[in-house]
Amino acid sequence: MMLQVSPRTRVALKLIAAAVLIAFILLFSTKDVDFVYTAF
Amino acid sequence: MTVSLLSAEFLSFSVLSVLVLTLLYGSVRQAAFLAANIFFLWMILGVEGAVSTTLFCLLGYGLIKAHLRWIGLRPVYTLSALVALFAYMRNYDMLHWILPDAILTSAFKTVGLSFILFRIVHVLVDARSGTLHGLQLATFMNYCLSFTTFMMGPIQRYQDFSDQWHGRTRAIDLTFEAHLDAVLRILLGLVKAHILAPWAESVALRPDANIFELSPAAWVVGLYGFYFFLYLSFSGYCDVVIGIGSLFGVRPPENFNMPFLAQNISDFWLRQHRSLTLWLSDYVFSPTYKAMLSGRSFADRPLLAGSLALMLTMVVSGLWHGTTFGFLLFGMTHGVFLIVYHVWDHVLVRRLGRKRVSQLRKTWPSRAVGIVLTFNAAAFAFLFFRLDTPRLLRLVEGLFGA
Repeated sequence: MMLQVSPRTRVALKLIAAAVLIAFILLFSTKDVDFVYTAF
Repeated sequence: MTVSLLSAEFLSFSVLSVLVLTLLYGSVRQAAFLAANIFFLWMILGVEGAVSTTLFCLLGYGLIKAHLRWIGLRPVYTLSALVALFAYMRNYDMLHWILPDAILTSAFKTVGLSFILFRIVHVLVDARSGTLHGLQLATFMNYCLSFTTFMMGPIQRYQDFSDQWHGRTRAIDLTFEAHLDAVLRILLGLVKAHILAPWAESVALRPDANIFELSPAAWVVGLYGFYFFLYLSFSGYCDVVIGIGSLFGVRPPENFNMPFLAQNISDFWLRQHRSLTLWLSDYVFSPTYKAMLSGRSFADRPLLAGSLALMLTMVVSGLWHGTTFGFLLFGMTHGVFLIVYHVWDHVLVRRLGRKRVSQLRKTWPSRAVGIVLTFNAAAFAFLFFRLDTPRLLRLVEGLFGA
């Protein structure tokens, strides 16, 4: 069963998730991706 | 100047485009989008590539308009000419077997041309059948060249693009949370493509791997690693462009739904590069299958007709994916997988009945076996996606003792 939270809490959690993802990208993103599909 | 996908340049360009396209209206917005798309083409391909790609789209538009004007024009001729031009521009390996080298050229830079070809074919067929109305040049050009999808898809339908672009349907709810969701989608895509995909690539089978000296464990890790690398890089890219598109008003369709959980190979293609599968189903498989059933040779042999149509569809899929021998093998391998699955399904239904088979498929052992088999079959087929032609020829020789 999904955890029920208020709309305000949900938005706050999403903002925190966005901040975590940005930090993750800044810390660990080291190189550009060699996309196999770009050759198409 | 060149720019790579998901680089800082691409993201800056996308943010600027979102801001401009959100502020403008009507024909000015249309012109600004076209200018942004052509500028992006120039960044990716340079002047020659941008010109040849734009001319290819204009040629497609001209052909579609010609078909709408002269109903008697047979699409098989115009489409064959368009596909021949496409194959020439992409400089397929196979052309070297049938044409003298003097007339072949690799001068055209053709990134994204395969996606454009499929869009043109879709619009031509739908416009001719009367299911697509109100085709406009500027909307068509933006549809073909949209910087979010022109290089790697997803393959959006013109009707869907046009409805969203002209505001008849909404790409995103006008709420803060919906926009935050779009930004989260972009960030998640960047994590997949920039952090997780490189990790998977580091353990993936190398294109120049010494295949006859690999241990069984190295094969398994290499193939699984490549499968996850492909999934993470391509689905991560799709996440980014779906998020960007949502923010400026044209959300591309979903393209992935956890393909590694597919329970059979048919299910796999509805989860992996889904927009391509639906296109192939509508414009290759269905017409071929119907044409075969309407002829005398296959009228009472639907399973054989279906199998041949499946093989043709997957060969088209393979050759569309790339220009080398490996992509032909990739398509044929998936064609064999799909035929085996459909024959197996046919036999099971005849023996046990549709209802019993449906119940059986819902049991957990059946699901688990299906997922494991499908995952390994898909990972194996990606071998032909990965290795270069000399290694694949050696592998085929080794397998068949030639």
